[in-house]
Amino acid sequence: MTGSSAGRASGKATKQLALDYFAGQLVGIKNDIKAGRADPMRPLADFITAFHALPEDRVAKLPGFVSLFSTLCDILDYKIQAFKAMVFEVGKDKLARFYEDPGGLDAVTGLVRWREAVEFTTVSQPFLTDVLACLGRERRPIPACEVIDDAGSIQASFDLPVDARNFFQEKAAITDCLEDFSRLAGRAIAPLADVLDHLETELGLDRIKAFIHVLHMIQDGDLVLESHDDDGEAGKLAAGTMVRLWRDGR
Amino acid sequence: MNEFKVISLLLARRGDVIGATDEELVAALGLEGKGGAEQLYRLLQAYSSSIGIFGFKVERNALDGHWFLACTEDVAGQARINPFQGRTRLASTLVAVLIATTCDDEGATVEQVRRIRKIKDVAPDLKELEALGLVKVKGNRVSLTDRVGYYIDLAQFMRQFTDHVNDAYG
Repeated sequence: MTGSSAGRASGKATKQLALDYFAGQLVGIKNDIKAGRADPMRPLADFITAFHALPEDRVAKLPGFVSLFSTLCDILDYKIQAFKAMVFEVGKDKLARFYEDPGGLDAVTGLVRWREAVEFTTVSQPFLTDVLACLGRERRPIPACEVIDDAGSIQASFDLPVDARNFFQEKAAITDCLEDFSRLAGRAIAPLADVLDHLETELGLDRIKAFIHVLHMIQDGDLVLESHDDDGEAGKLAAGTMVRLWRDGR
Repeated sequence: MNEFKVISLLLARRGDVIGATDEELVAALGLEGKGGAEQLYRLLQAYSSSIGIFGFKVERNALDGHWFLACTEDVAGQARINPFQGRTRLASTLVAVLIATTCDDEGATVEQVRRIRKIKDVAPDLKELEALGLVKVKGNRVSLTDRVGYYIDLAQFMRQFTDHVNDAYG
């Protein structure tokens, strides 16, 4: 922040700046910046400070995933300039040494966490397996999910959470049904697709709901995921995703 | 079709247009009017926590204001998600453009990028990055496009870069 902008910042209480933010007064500031009446670097820093000074109960009401920083950048249209102003504080001497370092760029490139937009229709079966493996054991509510397996690609869409009472009634029926499923007898394992087929055939349960129940059962420890290297037909069908009933202690 | 399906449909768009803006989501969900944005954020938050179990999360490209779906870090790590898989030279050149853009108030030039990359010619890499829609080259000037925001969290990158340079060359 420049000396003059710091002076202007102190003219308005931090708390009031925060309230301004919630009142949407940044629009006015944006217009001031566009008209050259305000220093474009000033409000960004001021509002970040104001945000951190907010009473906890106000902060708690903010949607957690909405980044104030992104929002401000969007509102003020700073984009890369804003990013630079906020986070870039490297001295020229250090930069010069970075430029001279033969391994400098490789080290920085190695730090980058790349990301990529997900398109559901390109999610593969092995990828889904990875997702299943990441589910963990802690029980959490999840939404209904429609999964259509079509020639190696998965299409998924999500629905609002199912009614809890019906869900648990269904779960009891599913548990009984799977315990009677001969392909899961003893410690036998079966492809996920076969389990879904069985539930569809025996209970008339659509595969969307069946999949959700299977996820819950994995989370609850009623079903166990197994990797499977068999080259046989079952292995091909499942592409490595196999489940078995949890039998230990029963 | 309920709200979550609408959100899934819009956020999973990928092509010329990736994901959706606040305005598009508000319109698609019929939330126009006062308080619409707040309601949208509440819905997005509920949606985001719901799909977390599947290894997905809602991200925002701060450069073009589009919300989109990405994988959580756990899943991305396991699935080894890297848009430059097998093309590390392109990743290095893009990072060099980011650094040149960040470090020079005048913006990046082809010569600066070449100097940071420490190779004789960066033109082929820049051409490929341009074809991917990630940079624009005009004469000697190189600029980043909004699409870069889908591949990298710029704020996180700049913080990492700042910390790294301060630690390694302090």
